[in-house]
Amino acid sequence: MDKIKEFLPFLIPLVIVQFGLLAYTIHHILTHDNYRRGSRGLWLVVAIVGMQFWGSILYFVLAKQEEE
Amino acid sequence: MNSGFWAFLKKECTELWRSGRLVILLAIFVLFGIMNPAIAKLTPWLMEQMAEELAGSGLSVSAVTVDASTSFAQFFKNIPMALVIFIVLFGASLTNECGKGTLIPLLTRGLSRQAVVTVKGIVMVLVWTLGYWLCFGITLGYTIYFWGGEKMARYALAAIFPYLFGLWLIAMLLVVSVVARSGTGVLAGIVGLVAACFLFGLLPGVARWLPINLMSAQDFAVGQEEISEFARAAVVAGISGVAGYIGAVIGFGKKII
Repeated sequence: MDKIKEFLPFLIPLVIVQFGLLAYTIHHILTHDNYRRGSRGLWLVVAIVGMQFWGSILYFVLAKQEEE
Repeated sequence: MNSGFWAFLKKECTELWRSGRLVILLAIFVLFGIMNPAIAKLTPWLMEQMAEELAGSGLSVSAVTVDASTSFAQFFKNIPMALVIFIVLFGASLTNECGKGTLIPLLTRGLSRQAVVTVKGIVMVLVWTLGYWLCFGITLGYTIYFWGGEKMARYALAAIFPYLFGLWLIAMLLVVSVVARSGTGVLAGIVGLVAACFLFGLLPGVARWLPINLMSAQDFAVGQEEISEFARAAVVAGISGVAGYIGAVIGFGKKII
């Protein structure tokens, strides 16, 4: 238990940032209909599996449709 | 410089926000900033876990001491990764617009080509500056909180070198963007450039002149190297960076869009 307490100063912001990023990515995926590659289902899986941040990077680099 | 400069800067900033690149990049820098001291803090515990296994294979692990330098060692080790992500997210920004022809209507309405290159450069420099020092600041804050604030000035000084390397790479990115036709081409060009730096670095005596040397700022932070060792690389990076920017402006002026 002590160990966890020691890491709380790291864990809390980490969790906030990671889930924030995940939520932002999922929001972006759901509010866009066309992707350069892949489909909505694929990108949702990628974003959730690659949760730490890799999924989000992949999505924004590979799939994001440029705004018109 | 007023031929559409401010309007284009505003458009770029809006796009940076709307495309989500700013958010994701800042989030990554924040994550890295938190991870550095967290990994340092975890190290003794990890070692303890591994000690039993290692003892079985004949290796004995003595107690590991962790201090501020471990945290910053992580920082200097992880910054290249953050830089790679930064380059991948921004690399295609200029070539994309040329490829899709979205610049043509703006250029015909009087936006100067010089402003295009400058604004692209400024936006990248701003994001890199913000993200990099955010990451450093978070690592610094945690490190002072856990291990006290000794020698922090030296770490802060050392942190300037990778930052300069990032600026240099942004200038090179502009140059490559003028030459290359696609985002993939830009990335290939940057990878080739960095690989060339590594190869030339193998030659004796050349390494200290190369901008890539700035990435080994860790050696300065722990006192293995003197600052003069990096001054040369910093000067070379500064001169070639400015020359690169000017070359990119001239080159972009002549590029057929």
